[in-house]
Amino acid sequence: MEKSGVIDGDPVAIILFAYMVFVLILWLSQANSFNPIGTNATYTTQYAKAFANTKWFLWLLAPLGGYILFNGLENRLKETGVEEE
Amino acid sequence: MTHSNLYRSKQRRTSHINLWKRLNREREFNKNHGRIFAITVILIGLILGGVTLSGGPLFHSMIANPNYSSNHHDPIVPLFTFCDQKFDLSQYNSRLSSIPFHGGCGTDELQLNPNSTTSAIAIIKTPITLDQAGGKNLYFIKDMQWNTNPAGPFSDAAFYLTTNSTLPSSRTYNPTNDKSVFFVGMWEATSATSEGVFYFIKDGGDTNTLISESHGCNSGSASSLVCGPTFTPGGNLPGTDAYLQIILNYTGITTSQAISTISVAGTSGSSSSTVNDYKLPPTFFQANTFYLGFWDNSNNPSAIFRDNGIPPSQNICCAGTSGNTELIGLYSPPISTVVNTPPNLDTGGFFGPIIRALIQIGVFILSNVISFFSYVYSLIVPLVAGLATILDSALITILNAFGSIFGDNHLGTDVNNFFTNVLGWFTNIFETALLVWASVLGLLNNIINILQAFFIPADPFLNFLVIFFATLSGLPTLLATIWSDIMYFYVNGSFTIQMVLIGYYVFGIYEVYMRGTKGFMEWLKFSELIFLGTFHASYWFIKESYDVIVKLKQLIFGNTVSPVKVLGTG
Repeated sequence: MEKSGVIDGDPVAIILFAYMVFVLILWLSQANSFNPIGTNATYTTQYAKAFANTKWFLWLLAPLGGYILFNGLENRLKETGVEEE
Repeated sequence: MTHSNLYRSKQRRTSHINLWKRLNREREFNKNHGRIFAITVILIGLILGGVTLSGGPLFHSMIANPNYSSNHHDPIVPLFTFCDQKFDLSQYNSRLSSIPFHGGCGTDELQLNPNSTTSAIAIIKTPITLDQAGGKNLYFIKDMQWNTNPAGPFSDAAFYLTTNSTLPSSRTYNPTNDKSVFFVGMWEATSATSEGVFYFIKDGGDTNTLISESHGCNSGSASSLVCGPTFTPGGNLPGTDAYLQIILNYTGITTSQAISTISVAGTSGSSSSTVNDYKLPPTFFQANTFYLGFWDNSNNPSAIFRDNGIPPSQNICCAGTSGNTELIGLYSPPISTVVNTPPNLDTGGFFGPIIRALIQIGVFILSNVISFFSYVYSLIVPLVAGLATILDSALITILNAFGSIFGDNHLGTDVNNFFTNVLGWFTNIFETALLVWASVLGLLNNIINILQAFFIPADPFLNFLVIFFATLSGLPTLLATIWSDIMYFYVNGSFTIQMVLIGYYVFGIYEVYMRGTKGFMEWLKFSELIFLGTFHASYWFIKESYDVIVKLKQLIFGNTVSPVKVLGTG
C-alpha cells in the first residue's frame, strides 16, 4: 500500500495538512456569518490570537512548502495518474 | 462549450464514483485502526517514559541552581510587626488618634487628627529591640496617605523610634526636638512635591536632639539629616499612598556604613536614590529598647498610616493574607547576578560520562581549531612581512638591475609586489577567517538565543500553546454548540450551511492526514464537483428552461417576424 498521508510521514502531506489546519484556525477566528461560531466572540478571539501568534510558522514554511508542494504534486499526479482518470 | 462542460462533469462524476470505491477499498479500517492504536500507545509510552526517565537515572541532565531561587526569595526577615487584633487604641499611647478602619488581622489604619494647636501622636506600647541588625541591612517601611490636601510646605508627618513610650505633654511636640528619639522617617509634603527625609541621632545618646544635629540635607556625617528623592505623584495628594522606605547598610565596616537605598513610592509613581557618602552612626539601635511612634504636625490634615501593600506583601500576622503593619526588618537583597543563571548541566547519571566527554571533546576541538588559526596567523604574517621588508630595501634594486639584463627592469619591484600581495592575502584570509569564526560563534550564540526565546513563556510558540489550551478549556461549549447544531439538524431536518462547510473542510483535512496529496486532490475534485457542479446544473437548468420556453412560444405563436425587422432598422 502506498504511503503518502500525514500518518505515513509524507512531508508534502504534512505541509499541506499544516496549511489546512491554519486555514481552519483562520476561518474559525473570523467574526462573520461564514464562521459557524462567528457570533461567539470568546472563541473567535481565542482563535484569532492563536492564528496571530502562529502565522510566523506559515511564513517560515512558505518557501519550503511551495517548493515541495509544487514538485510533489507534479510527481504525484504523474505517478498516480489522477489527471487521466 | 457548455455541452462539453457537461460531458466533462459526467467524466468527473465517474471519477468521483471511482474515488468512493477506492476510498472504501483503501481505507482498510482494521489496519489503520491498529496502526493508530499502536502509534498512540507508543506516544503515551514515550511521554510517560520521558517524564519518568527525565528525572531518573538516565537523563537527569539539569539540576536546579541552588542560587536560582529568586522567585522564592523573601528579602525581608521581620524584626517587628504590629499584629493588632483588638482594632482599638488600647495598645497605643495616643492623642487625637483613631482607628477608622481595619481589614482584620493587623491591617488596621491608624488615623492621626491634629487640630490647629496640637499635634497628633500615637506610640505603640510594644517594645522593640533591633540588636539583630548589627552587621546586616536594617529595613524600615511605612505607608501613609493624607486624608485631605496638605495645607502648606510644613505639613509633615512621621514615624519614629523613641526610647520613651510615654505620651509627650507638649502640644506642639515634634519628634526631631525630642532627645529620646533616635530615628525619624518623615514625609515632608508641600503643595507640589513630597520628599522623604530621615534623621539619625549622631551622638548615640540623649545629649542632642535630631534637629540640633541637623546641618542640612546630606551634608555629611556631621548632620543627622538624610534626604531621599523628591517625588511628585502620590504622597502629597489625598487618598493616595506614599510608601516611605529606607535600607541601612550595616554590613560594612562599622565606621563607614552607608545608606544603600532610600526610596519613596506613590500609587502612581515611585522614586528611589542611593546615598553613598553618608556615614551612618554606628549601630545607634543597639543596647536600646525602642517604641514605634507616629506623628502628624499641628494644623495638618489627617494622616492615615496604613498597612504596607508592597513586598513583602504576605501579612506576617496572618499567613495567606496581604498587607504588613509597621514593618521593621532585616533586608537581604536578591542575588541579582545569579537571577538569570541557567540551570547547571548535570553530567551525572548513566549517560553522564558520555555527555561530559562530548562536551570536553567539543570544547577541546573548538579551542584547538581557533588556536591553530591564531598560531598560523601569528607565524606566517610576520614571516612574510619580514620578507617584504627585506625585499623592500636593497634586494629590489638588485633584482631590478638583474632583471634589466633580460629586459625587465621591474623584476625586483614585481617580486616585492608579489610578496606584498601574498602578505596581504594571508592577512586578509586569516583576519577574515578569524572574523568568520567570530561570526560563526556569534551565529551559534544567536541560535542559542533563538532556542531560548522559543521556549521562554513570552514567546509566540508558548503563547500559542497557552492560547491553544485556553481555547481547549472552551471546547466543551464549542462541542455543545456543534452538537446542538447536529441535533437541530435531526429535529428540523436542516443544517446551517456553515457547519456543513466546516464539516466538509475537516473531511478534507482528514483526507490529507490519511492519504496525503492524493486524498487532497480527490477531495478537491469532489469539491469542484459539488460546488462548480451546482453552478453547472443551474446553468443547464436555466438554459434548458429557456429553450423550452422559446419552443413553446414558437409552438403557440409560430415563427413571427420581429417588428424591428419589419421597420428595416434591424
